[in-house]
Amino acid sequence: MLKELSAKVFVTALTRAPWVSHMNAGSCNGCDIEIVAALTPRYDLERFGIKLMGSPKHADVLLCTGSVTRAMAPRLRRIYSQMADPKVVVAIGGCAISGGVYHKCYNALGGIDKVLPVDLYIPGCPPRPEAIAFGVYKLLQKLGGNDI
Amino acid sequence: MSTVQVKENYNTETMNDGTVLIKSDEESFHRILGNLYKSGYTHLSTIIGAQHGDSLTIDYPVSRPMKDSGQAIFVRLQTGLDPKDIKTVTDLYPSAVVYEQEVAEMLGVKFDEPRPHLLLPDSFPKDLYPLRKEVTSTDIIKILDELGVGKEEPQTIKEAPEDEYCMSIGPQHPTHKEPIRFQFFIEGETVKDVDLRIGFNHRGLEKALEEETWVQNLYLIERICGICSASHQLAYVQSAEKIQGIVDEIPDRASWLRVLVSELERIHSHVLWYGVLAHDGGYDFMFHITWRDREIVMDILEEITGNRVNYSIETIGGVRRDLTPDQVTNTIAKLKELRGLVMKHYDILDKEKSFVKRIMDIGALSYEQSIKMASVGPTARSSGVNFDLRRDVPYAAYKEIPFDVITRTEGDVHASMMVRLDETIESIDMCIYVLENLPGGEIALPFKNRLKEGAAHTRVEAPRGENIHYINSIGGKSPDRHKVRAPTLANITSLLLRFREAQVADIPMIIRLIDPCVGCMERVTFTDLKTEKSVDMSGKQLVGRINSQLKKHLPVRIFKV
Ligand code: SF4
Repeated sequence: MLKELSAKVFVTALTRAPWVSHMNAGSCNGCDIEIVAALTPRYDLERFGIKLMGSPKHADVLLCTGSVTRAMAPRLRRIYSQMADPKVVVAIGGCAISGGVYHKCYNALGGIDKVLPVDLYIPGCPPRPEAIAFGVYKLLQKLGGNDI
Repeated sequence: MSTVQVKENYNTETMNDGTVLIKSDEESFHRILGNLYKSGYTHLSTIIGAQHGDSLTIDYPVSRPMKDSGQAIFVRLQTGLDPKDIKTVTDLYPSAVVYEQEVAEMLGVKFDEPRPHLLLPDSFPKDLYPLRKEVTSTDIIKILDELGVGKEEPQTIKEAPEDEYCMSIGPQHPTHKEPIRFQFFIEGETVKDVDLRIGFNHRGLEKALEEETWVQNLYLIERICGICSASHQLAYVQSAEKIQGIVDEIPDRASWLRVLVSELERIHSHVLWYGVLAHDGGYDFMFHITWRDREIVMDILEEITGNRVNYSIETIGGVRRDLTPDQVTNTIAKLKELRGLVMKHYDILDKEKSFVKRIMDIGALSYEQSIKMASVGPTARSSGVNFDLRRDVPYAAYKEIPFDVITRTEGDVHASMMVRLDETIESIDMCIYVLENLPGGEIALPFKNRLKEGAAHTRVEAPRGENIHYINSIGGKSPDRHKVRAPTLANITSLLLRFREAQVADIPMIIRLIDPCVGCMERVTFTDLKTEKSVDMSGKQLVGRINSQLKKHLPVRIFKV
């Protein structure tokens, strides 16, 4: 009973105001500026309670971009382990999904899911801010059932 | 020394693009560089190493960072495959330390002052040089996977000397949008020393470029960096056109459209920059305002090129999309609207006392230091270096478009903000001029996926400064060597000087000053991968070397190392 209730509270808290943290694991910057664009006034994801946090310790959602370079892989794991449960990982952009244009590069591992469990993939090179917003909406819908 | 004198005095050759190349050997190259330095060639753009069969060439492109400087001169050093005891040039060009280290680790060139690894870890196979022709990317991946490179957990902060405290910023930190690591040694609130670690974003692109075709490379090149993608693409296609010998045949309309996209990119990059600067300074209101207004230029870019970020507009021989008359009128109207808004930003940022005080007098770099450290772009112009490649080594259609080069003398964060604000306005005016005077005609020449044999380089003024691309073609379907040096790598060594005696609270603003773009910088520098020990030495070493060089040449004490 208590377990069910706390799970419900968690889900409500998570879906009403998911705080995000952003991590660049070897991207070209394109996706990163589109994430920021999605959070600023034109697209304004903040109206859904989505807020960009500096520290991953405060965040529920980790937005990852980039093809994961060998130097960043251990750091990515470490950042993930610092986040409090329940946590969600979103891979943004072609190279976060599969290595993208960098699939041949010797120092890129080729995708966030080589290192972390990913919950949502947003394709594009880079995805438009609308696509990011849509992806986030899908995620919230999935987490919160039909409430949203 | 003019190029004529150079040709008289030395054994020279001319590259496909008309650049003078001085041929030299291990004995003479340092003397030649010294002579050139004395006659004003104080700017070393990068060091280009390349393998040709069983010999290596090491090129030093030097130029004069001043008005009407003319083309760069290449000093070429030809050696065997395992060159040893090559004389270092850091006594002339302190910033060469990163470039030398890059050639050393990528190609196995050994310099006379043996240094511990700067970019590669100790555990990296000692005889594996990624840019050598014997290995392909696939081979390297196999070797690195077998060794388990990238699996280890990183260690934490290193020991600080007595009385000092070590503070690590990065690789993941709210101040950086991209991974880079600084370790500051602080006494009280004052920075005494700094360690720099780069290489977290290194993907191995230059190797990949050699394995793809010319056309595929068009799209790979622009993904070096999502903010200055057009400048990379432009530098690439112009070098290719020089090799092909079609520079004079490029349709006028294409050259003008290239200028248009480059300037729009500068606008979006500068607006982005001062928005983030405001954010770093705790002025979030301004951050949101600027990013809201930046969407106008993104809309224009999308309308003209079809994409918001990686525009893919250039192609070898011209541009890929034309403008309709409707688009021209629309764009002019939007640009005028944007101009009004940028003037407002200008007003707010210039007059808001608390913000101006926050960024005044921090991270200053003098003119002499700026020249010595070979900084580039708006960063150098804010220290009084009157140099802009668009005016001084004109490319595309810049010769025909009127504009002013903005300089300041203070060299601090405020000066660099004002330079960028002025440049934004200047760029908007240039775009309007281009659109109003756009010549008609074709937009591209046909290109058949093969390039002639030859070598050429191009320097373009990216939003962050000089961006140099060098291509060597052996007539095949892909380049033999493609070297990129992005502006941030040139600025990063001068950044270290700016931290001298800075306050901890000012660190984010000073980092922001050079507009670091790590993605660009690190196509070649290698990752740390393993023991933090080698890493620590590397940062110290970098600073130490720069210090000792500077102490010799400038009467200042920089860091306690
Ligand atoms: S997906 Fe494309 S735009 Fe995004 S980081 Fe990768 S290369 Fe850059």
